[in-house]
Amino acid sequence: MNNDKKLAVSSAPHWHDGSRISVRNINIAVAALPALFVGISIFGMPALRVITLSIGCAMIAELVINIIARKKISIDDGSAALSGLLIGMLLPASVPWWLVVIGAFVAIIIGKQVFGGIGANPLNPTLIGFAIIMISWKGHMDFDEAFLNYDLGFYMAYPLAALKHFGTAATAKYNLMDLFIGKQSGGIGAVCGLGLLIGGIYLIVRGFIRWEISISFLVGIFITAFLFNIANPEKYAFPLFHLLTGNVMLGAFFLATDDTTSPVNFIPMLIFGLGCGIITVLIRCLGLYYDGVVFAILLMNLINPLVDKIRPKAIGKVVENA
Amino acid sequence: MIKKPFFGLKKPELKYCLESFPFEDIPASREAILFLKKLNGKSEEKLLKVGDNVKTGQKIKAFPDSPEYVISPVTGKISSIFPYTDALGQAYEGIKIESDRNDDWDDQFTGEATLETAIDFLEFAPGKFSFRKFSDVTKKVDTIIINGMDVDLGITVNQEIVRTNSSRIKEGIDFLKKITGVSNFIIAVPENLSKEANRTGATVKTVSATFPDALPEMIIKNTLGKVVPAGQKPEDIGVAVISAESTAAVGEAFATGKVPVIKALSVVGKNGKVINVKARIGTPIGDILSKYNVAPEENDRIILGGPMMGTATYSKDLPIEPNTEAITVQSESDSAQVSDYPCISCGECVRICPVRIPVNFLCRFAEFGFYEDAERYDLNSCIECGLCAYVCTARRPLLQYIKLAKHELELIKLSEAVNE
Ligand code: SF4
Ligand code: SF4
Repeated sequence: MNNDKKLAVSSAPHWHDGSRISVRNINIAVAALPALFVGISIFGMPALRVITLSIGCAMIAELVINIIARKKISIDDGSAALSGLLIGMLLPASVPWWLVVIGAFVAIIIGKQVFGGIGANPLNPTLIGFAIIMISWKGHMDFDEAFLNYDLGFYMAYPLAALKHFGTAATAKYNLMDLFIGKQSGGIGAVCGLGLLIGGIYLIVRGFIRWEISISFLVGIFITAFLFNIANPEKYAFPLFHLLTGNVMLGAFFLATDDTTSPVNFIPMLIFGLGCGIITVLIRCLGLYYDGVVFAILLMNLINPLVDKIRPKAIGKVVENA
Repeated sequence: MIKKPFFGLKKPELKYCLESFPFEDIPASREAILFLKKLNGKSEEKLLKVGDNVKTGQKIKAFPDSPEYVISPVTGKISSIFPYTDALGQAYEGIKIESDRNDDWDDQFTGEATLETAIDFLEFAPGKFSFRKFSDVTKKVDTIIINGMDVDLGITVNQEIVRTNSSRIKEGIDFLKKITGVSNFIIAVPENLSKEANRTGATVKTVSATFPDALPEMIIKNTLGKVVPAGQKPEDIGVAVISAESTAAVGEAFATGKVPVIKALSVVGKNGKVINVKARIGTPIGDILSKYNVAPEENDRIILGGPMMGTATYSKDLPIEPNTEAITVQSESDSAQVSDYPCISCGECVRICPVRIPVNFLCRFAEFGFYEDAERYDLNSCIECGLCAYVCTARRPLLQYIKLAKHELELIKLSEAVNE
């Protein structure tokens, strides 16, 4: 028996479908590329600078924490890089380098690692990073100020700011097709709805994100915007305008669908998506901020554990009548 | 190993093997190894010693006050007795018998068709069906389901028995009727075997060819519309599930007056090639593998059972047991490698679970020892199909956590019962 080959022992099952976290993250990053290319081609090298810097910083932040906490190095799962990429996509191309660094570090450290790393964060780390710098350095994050000296050959006012200040009349200056293909001011990766849609569909058919969340998000926006629009067409824009501006597309396909911070059951997913959509439009129409996507998703992240309790009873579960 | 489809929106579907593979006979080996369950707290006095002669079909007991026994599959001499512990920590008495290659049948088994005889002699028959459940007067079994499907993937044993030996199954059913008093018999088979199943006289129900629909709980749910409550057994709702092989064994035993000692099993090689064989219970795995030139390499796995629910074993010297349905050999590159990564709550496991368990929460609790909380998250509904761990993005050993939690809870309950 001594010259026998050593066999591996393990518990069942002995098959695995081959999925893994890094594959998932790489695919999400790949799906972001179309929108990213459009963004970079519109905003030029400064945009590329922001993206690479934020990816790099996020990975360094993760590595630093790994080393300090003496944990296994976890940058190879791609989740830090993906967070960095998504923060970069939310930022304006003109943002100063130190703000990118802060955003990426805050996202990884405060957004994720203080809770215990991947899988333990209650809120989407990307959004934490972005929200904190957006609130703290409003001036740098204001798209109109950011693009003050730019002329890229299309109407440069941030659509949602214009809407807030001038009502529906301002929307006439925008061509919906232009908005859809990315000719608008906004975050580097958020402007091109077409690219994001392509990426989103890719992720859905490959099964990396859940369509329930994305679709109900968009439906939530559409319905709420529609109701506002009927109530006061002068002040509140029509639904399509809401769908194509700001971070809606990025949010629906890349942010709200984050695994850890979204529900896993069918009905909760629908509630979650709808909630994100409704709150987004509420913030846009009634709130202080131009765009509400980031805060809407963060809010829904908070109630995610609660909504996810709505689940079908396990088969065979014995309900005790207390 | 079947991978996730490229268009992963669709749930992966694992299909049972429905092909026919005729049985090949494996000649009896020089030795047979049997494991006799030890019960805790029972006396250490042994009835056995090395050098004892045994006959084929002879009932072997090791402890006077334990109901556990094994049936010798060969005629020969006990050459060694050694302690053995299985993967779940259950202790056994290992008994190695050197065969003298002649079958001298023992005559204790009279072939008289009563429940007592079945309990006394057939619990170690192929399939290892326990007849004791019929003697519990508090749980009246009124339906017996004969499982003509094989529970795990790649195995075709029961299907092949339905295909080739429906007459024995019919005999088995007649004897089961007689000894249990149950009249309602259902045979669950895949679509393509309904003709053969019809010959057995039982009511034929078809089951889908998608894993895990051949698991007893799923068959009960899909054919009878009944659900086995969490933590209970099919007997508790009046149903007993018996494999086609066990049924045929009952038929053979009472019709021939000899306790069956030949086990049918599938041998699935590294290339996925299936060979169905019939070998004596107790035959070392290595003897069967070497006959078919299946040589496991370093770090390969030898799995007793199928890829989803079987147990990977550590040695080729272990024997075929009465409930070994298959030997599946897997190369290292083809087998699942688990990680200790935390759960990312992607929910793949939750959505694929056939009994709708929130596996993501359950396994977080189980991982860190909160077994009672795990129980609140439907631990006891789990039918241990392994699908959750098959799809887990973080490659967590989910089923292992579940089994651990069940095992630990069992121990807690036992110690509570002792302390009372
Ligand atoms: S093994 Fe996993 S998928 Fe199967 S029943 Fe149990 S929890 Fe559900
Ligand atoms: S599949 Fe794995 S990582 Fe995903 S929720 Fe289930 S346990 Fe967590």
